[in-house]
Amino acid sequence: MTWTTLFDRAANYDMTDDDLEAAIAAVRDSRESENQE
Amino acid sequence: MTVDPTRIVADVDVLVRDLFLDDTDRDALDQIRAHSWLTLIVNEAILEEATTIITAVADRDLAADWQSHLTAMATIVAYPPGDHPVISAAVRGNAAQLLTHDPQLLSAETGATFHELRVSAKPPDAFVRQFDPDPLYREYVGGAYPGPDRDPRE
Repeated sequence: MTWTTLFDRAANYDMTDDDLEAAIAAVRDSRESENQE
Repeated sequence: MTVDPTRIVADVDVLVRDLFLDDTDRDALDQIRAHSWLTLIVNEAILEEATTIITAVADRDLAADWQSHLTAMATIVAYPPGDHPVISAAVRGNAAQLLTHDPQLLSAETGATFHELRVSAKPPDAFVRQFDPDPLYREYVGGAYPGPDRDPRE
């Protein structure tokens, strides 16, 4: 499998910058909460 | 601490955007993929966070294949539980460069810490603008820069 194949498969999900930002923010918030504990 | 400009940490946000968006994150990681003498540094915490996100927004198979592909090209450094995943990867990986969109990691406050560690944190678009492989190759590999030596999409 090549990176091109992976990118093509990922492109099928039509993710937008906003979609990814929301998903990344959720994980990042969790990371910061753990660091503050 | 001795840091190496050819060793580069990519934060979770950069790795995920590389996979899903044909944008500057992919341009930045293409530079690493295209040069065998550049080393992408990650740790288990970064991989786990990225895999969690990919599974959430896509599916488990894509996440597993992505992780398999990434670990084949990256150097995985130890991750002591409790460390900040990205800062830990930079320190333990002797990386001089860190690619992230995290405003906290790009803040002046954190920047002072990175300055002490001699780590340069920057968003991928800045990395793409500033990256000049020729002098880096001459200093850290030796000889004339031969150009990219790998297909970044293979």
